[in-house]
Amino acid sequence: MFIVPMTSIIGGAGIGTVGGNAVNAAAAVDTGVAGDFKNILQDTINNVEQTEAVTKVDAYNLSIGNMDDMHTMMINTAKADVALQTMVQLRNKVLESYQAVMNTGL
Amino acid sequence: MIGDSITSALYQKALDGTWQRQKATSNNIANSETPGYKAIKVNFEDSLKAEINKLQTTANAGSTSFLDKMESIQSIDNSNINVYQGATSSRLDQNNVDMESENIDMTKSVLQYNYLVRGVSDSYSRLKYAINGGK
Amino acid sequence: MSFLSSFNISGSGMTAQKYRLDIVAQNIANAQVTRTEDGEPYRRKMTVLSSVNTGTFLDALKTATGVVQKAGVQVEAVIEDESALVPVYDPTHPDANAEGYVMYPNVNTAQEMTDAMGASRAYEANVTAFNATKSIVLKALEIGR
Repeated sequence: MFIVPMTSIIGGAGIGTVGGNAVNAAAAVDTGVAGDFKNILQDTINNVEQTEAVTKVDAYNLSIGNMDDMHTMMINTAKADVALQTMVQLRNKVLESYQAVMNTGL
Repeated sequence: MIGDSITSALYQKALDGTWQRQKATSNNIANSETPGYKAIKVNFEDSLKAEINKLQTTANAGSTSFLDKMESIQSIDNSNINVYQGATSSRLDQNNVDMESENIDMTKSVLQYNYLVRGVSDSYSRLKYAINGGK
Repeated sequence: MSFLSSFNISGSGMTAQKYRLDIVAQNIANAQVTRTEDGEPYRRKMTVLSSVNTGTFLDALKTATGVVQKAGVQVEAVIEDESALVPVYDPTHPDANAEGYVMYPNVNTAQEMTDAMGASRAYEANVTAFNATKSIVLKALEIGR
């Protein structure tokens, strides 16, 4: 048995204003087809990778003493935080819904 | 990207500009007795306002709905920080640093930075609260 | 290195003003010296301040993440005041010249005190700027807490 990809019931405007998924939102608004959940998950994982890469560069700069504006570094840390938490929560919800589906009696 | 909202871009730009202003003020105060030195002023607010106003077309005049568009973020990133020096001075040593004005700028920078940090910090903690489902 | 090099700007200001105060102290201490090592009366010393790297500093400010390498103020030179020495009629003095005048240093105590007050106020202003920068940097730590 495999999981059928969910079609989003929220539609374009909902996801778009969260600000995280302009591509899917634009696609949904333009074509009327809701964004793919798989794409959303993939985007979230890409976010985590990007923000982690930025914090790695920041850590290097901070360690060699090449840092002048502290607020950019702190904001990058906060973004990495938010991206990671989003991904973890998304994963939790997917697992929960999988469990819920598996537990429905046939 | 999650966390890359209009608010975040505005705060980032304002924090950058305020930090540059504080550096310029420090330099002006250090050079307050240097002959021939002209005070350095930093202005980012005008460029930011101009960039945002470009999005305000006659169609949506009077509303702030353009602040919801994602392309506002690009405009905000495009705005630049203007750094300029005056050219004239009325002092004998041709130095035009006005200590009172520098002190006022310094106080305003500190306060503005504090409020901006509070704003950006709160926006991220609201986001985290929503992501974690209220826990 | 350039970590928080913005502190160095105010630091350079403090150093320069302290140097000015040192020069003022030296002038006052030597105000009655009619014969220095080279035989001449002591001449009043003055500091020449100049700003450091203003061009690259301006460029660094324009890019939001431009790192300030070196900026602020420096004491470029210590020069002697070429204004006239003060002649005092005293034929019995060992340093008196042919007409009986002794040349005293051109140090005006009132002017030195004014310079000292100016330098000390400028020093305080630099300390205030330093503290303001420090409070800003510490505040940035609270983002995301």
